[in-house]
Amino acid sequence: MFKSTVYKKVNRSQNFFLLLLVILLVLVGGKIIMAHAKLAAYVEAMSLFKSGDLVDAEKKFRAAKRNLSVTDHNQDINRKLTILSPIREVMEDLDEKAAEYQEEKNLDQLVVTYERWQENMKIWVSGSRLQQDMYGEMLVPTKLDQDFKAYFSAIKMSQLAKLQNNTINGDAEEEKVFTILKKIPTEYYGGDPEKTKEIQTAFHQYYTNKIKTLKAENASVARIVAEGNRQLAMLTNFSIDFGWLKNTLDTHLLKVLNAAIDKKDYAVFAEQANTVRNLSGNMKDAKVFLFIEKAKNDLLSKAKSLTTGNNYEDAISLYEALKPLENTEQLIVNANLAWDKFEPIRVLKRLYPTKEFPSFVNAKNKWGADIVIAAISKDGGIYFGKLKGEEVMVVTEGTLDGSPDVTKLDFESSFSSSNNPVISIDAKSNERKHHYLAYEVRSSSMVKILDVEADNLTVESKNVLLVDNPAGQGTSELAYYEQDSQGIYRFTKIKADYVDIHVSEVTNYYGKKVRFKAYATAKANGGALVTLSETYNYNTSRWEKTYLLLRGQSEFTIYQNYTVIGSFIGYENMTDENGEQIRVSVFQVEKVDK
Amino acid sequence: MAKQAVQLSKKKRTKYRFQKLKMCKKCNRYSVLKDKICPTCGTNLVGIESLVKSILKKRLTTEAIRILIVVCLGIVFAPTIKTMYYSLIAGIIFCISYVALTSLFMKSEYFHQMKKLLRADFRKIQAGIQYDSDLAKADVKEERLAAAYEKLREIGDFISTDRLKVRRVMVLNDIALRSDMELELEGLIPSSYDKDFVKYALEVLKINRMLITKKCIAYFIHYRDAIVIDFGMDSLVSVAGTALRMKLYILEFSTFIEEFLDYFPKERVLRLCSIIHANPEVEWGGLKEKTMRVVAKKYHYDPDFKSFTIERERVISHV
Repeated sequence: MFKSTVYKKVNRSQNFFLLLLVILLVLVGGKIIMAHAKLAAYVEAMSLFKSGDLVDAEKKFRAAKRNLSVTDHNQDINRKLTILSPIREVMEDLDEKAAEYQEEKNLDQLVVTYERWQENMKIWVSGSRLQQDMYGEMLVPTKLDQDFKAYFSAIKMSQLAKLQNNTINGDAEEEKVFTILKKIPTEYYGGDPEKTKEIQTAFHQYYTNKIKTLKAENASVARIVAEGNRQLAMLTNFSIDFGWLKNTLDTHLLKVLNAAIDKKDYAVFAEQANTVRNLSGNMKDAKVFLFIEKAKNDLLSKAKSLTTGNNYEDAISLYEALKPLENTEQLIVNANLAWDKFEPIRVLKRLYPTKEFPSFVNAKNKWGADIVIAAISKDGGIYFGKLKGEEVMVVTEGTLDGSPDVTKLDFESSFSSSNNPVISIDAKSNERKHHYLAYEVRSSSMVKILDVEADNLTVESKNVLLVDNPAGQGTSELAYYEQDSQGIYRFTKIKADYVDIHVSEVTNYYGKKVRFKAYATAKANGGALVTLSETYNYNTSRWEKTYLLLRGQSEFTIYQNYTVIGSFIGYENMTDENGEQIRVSVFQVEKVDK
Repeated sequence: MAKQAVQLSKKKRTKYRFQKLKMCKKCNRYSVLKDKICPTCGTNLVGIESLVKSILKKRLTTEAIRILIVVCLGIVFAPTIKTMYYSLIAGIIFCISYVALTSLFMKSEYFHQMKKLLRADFRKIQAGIQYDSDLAKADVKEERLAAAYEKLREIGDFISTDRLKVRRVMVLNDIALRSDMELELEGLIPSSYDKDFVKYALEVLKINRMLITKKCIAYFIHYRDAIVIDFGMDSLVSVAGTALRMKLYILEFSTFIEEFLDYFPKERVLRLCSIIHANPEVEWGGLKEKTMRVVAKKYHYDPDFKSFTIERERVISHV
C-alpha cells in the first residue's frame, strides 16, 4: 500500500493545524477572560481589605491567586494571603475536622483537633493586629468554640450516663469510658481537680452499684471475688482510690466465711476462702485473710485430733474439705495409712473389691508386719494380709473346705511349729458346740492344719491342743491334738482335765476339776459322805468330823473307795449322825473313775 | 481476423508531458488519460497544475495557521497581561509579513511545489498509470480498439517500455490503418526485434513514408536478417528506398542503399541521381559511382536520365 498523496497529506496537515489553532484560540480566549477576571478579583479584594472585611478579602485574594492565567499582582496577593489564609484554612479545617470526628465518634482526633485549635489560638491572639482581627472574624462563621463545647459535653454526658445506667459490658468498655472521660479537655469539667473528682465519683458509684447488685443477688463468693479483683485492677489502672472497695469486700467476705464455719460447712468454707485468697494481691492487710488462716489452722488441728481418736473418716473428710485451702494430700495419705492399719480389712476390700468379708481379724506387730489381717470371704476364700509401713499389703490366699458358718476368727501363733501365722476359725458345728479350723500361712500358701468339731479347744502347750469332746476319736473326753510330720493337727490321746489331789485338799480347789480317792462312809442328802478329817475335842469330849458330800452319782456304795472326778462347788448344811447341824463341803461328781 | 475500421481521435498535446497528469481527489488516484471524470467514483479529475495550486494555497494557509499557533502559544504562556498583548501584536505582524513575502515568490514556489509533488507522488503516479493500462487492457479484451489505442497512446507519453510499445503495435495491427490517422512509428521502436512492429512499420511505410525515420531505418538494418526471413527482401528494398527521402539519410545509410540499388524502381534511382546531381560538393563515396553505373547500365537509353549520362561522359572525356 502506498503512502497518501501529497494533496491528502497537505489537506490533513492543514486540518490538524486548523483544529489546533481552534483549540488554542479557545485557550487564548479563556486566558484573556481569566486574566481580566484575576485583575477584577484583585481590585475587589483590595477594596474589601481596606474596608476591613478580612474574611471576604481573603476569599477574593484566594480567588485571584487561584487564577493562574497571569502572574500580575501575585506578590501582593501572596503577602496578604500569608497572613490571612493560614488562619482561615486552619479554622475551617478545624471546624470541618471537628464535625467529621464528632460524626465518626473519633474522640482521639477530636481532642487532637481541640489541641490544635488551642495552640493556634494562642499564636494568633498573641500575634499581630491583623491576625487577631482575622481570628475574631473566623470565629463567627465557624462557631468553633461553641461546637467544641457541644461535642465534648455530649460525649461526657453519654459516658457518664453509661456508668450511671450500668450499660457497660466488660473491662474494655469500662476502660474505654474512662479513657474517653479522661480525654475530654479539662476546660469542659471546670478545672483539673473537678475533672478528677467527677470521674472518680462516677466510677465509685458505678462499682459500688455493681457490688451491691451482686450482694442482692446473693452471688457466689467466686463471682464477688472475681468482680472485686476486676474492680481493683481497673481502679488501679485508672489510678482511682479503692480503699472503700477493700473495706466493702473485707466486711462482706468475712461475714460469708463466718457463716460457712458456723454451719460447719468446711468444704464450702475452704472453697470460698481459697477464692477469697485471690484478692490477697490487692488486699494484703484485710481481716478476712487473718480469719482464713486462723480458721484453717483450727480445722487442721481438729482433723489431727480426729485421727488420733481413730475417727479417720471424719478426719479425712475434713482434710478433703480443706484441700482447696491447704495441700492436705500428705495428711490424707497419712490418715488413710493409719486407717488402713487400724482397719486393715479396708485394704483387703480395696484389693478384692468384688468380695465381701463377713469375718476378719487383725493383729498388730506380728510376723514382721505392722499389722496382719485374716479374713474369710463370703464365697469361701481365706485371706491373710501383712501390712508393713507404707508398703503394699502382701496377701496370701486360700480356700476353705466346705462352707463353714464362721462365728469367730483369730490368730493362733502357737498352733504353728515354725512360728508361721495361723488363722484359727471357730465355726458352727452340727455335732458339737464348735467346729475348729486352723490354717497355717506357709510361704504364700494356706495349709489347713486343724479341722475338728468339739465342745471346746484350748492350747495345752506349744503345738499341743486340748480338745474337749471332739467328734470322732476322743469323744466325750479331753483329747490332745498334736501336729504330725506335715504339721497337721491330729488326735493323739485323751487328756485328763482334772488335778489329782488328796481328798483333804479339796476345799482348796473350789470350782476346779480335781480327782481324788475317797472312801464313802455314809449316804446323805442324795450323795455319799466322805470323812475329811476327824479330831478329838477335849472340851466336848467328842470326835469332831468334817465331811465332803459327793453328789451327782447316786450309785455310791458306802464303805467303799471311789476315785472321783469333779469339782468342789460349795457348802451345804446337814444333820449329822448325832443329830447336830453341820456344814459340809459339796463335791459335784462328774465322773467316777474305775 | 479482419482488421477493425475505427476512428482515432486526435492526440491532445501539451507543452509538458506532466501537464497531462490528473488526479481524483476522492480516490486519491492519478491518471494520464483524456477522461475528465474518474471512472471509479465519478468525480471530476483535477489537473496537476490546479492540484499544485491548490496544494500551494493549502500550504500557505497551513503555514499561516502555524504562525498563529505560535502566537496563541505565546499568548497562552504569557506570564502577564502586557506580555500577552505583546505576543498578539508580534504574531499578527509576523503572519501578515509571511503572507506578503510568500505571495511575492509565489511563481517559483509553484514550480518548487510541482517538483516536490511529482517526486513525492511518483509511486502513486506509477500506480495510476498502471490502472490506466489495466483499463486499456480491458478495452482490448472487449474489442474497443480505438479507445484502447488512445489510452495506450496517452500512457505511451509517460512509459516507453517495449511491452507497452508492442501492445500499442499489436492494437494498431488489428486496426485498418488509414492515411488520415494520426500515426506514429519512431516512438514505437522496441529495443529488440519484434515481428509485430516490423509488420506495423511496413504498413505505415505504405501509408506514410514520412514516418520512416532514421531510427526506424537503423532498426531495419540492424535486424535485416530476421526481417528478410519473416518478410522477404522486398521489405528491405522498400525501406532502403524510403531512405532516399532525405540527403542526410542517403549519406547515413549509403552502404545500405548501395546494396539494394540494383532492385530500386526507376523512380527511386531517378530521385537518387537528382540528389547526387544537385549536390556535387558532397562526398558520396561509392554510392555515386554505383548509381552512375546502374544508370549507365539500365537507363542509358532513358531520356529522363539523359542529363546525368551527358554529364558523366563529359567528365570521362575531360579526364
